[in-house]
Amino acid sequence: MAADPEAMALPPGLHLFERDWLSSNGVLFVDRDSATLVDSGYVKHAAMTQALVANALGPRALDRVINTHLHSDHCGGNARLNSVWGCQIVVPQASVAAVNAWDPLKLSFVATGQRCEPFVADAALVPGSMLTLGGMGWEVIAAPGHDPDSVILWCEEHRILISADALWQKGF
Amino acid sequence: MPPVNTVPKAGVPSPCTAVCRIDPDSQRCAGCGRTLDQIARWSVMSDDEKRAVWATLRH
Repeated sequence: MAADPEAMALPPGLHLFERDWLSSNGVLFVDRDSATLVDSGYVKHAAMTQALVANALGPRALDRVINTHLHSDHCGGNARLNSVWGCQIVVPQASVAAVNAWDPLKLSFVATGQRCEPFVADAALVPGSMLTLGGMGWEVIAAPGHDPDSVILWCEEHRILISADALWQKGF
Repeated sequence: MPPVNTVPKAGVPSPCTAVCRIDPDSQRCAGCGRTLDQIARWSVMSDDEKRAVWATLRH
């Protein structure tokens, strides 16, 4: 493979799944202690999400799913992945109550006419806290805007930002 | 040694047609025809590799 001088090297332990509409991209982190998927695509593509994760993990289990925000294209695979691996589901702190009540007025799915299979949040992403993903330290940063509860993830060591849906090339 | 896990600039479009289901007989996506490995590696393929994948697909 010819090297692209402008290409960015991704650290080992970080697997980027480039998905297509209606699914968001996902990032799978694997280290010695844990395997975590950030954002799980749309519900209609849950089987493909499961297949991509299983293919990357081999014999290992998925331990955790993290959602940057709860738009249907980012959390639609949660229920399926949890049913397969019993993984922990972690959502932005501001969204925990709405998820665990499965409140249709506070969650976006009814308003956007999109579907999502229900799931339960086991833990919260707290803005200002640190996560270990793929053996790297990632800061959870609140990024209200595209979604009021959204967080983004920043790795200072590798200068990588998982920007959720906060940044768009040509606006919204 | 060239990097083995890189993210090239946007270039060759994805073959995805939003079906996103692996056919159990062919072990390829029922929509776009890619294998699971080709889908998983799409983000780190060079444009040449992507064009080579396109050449193998029925379209």
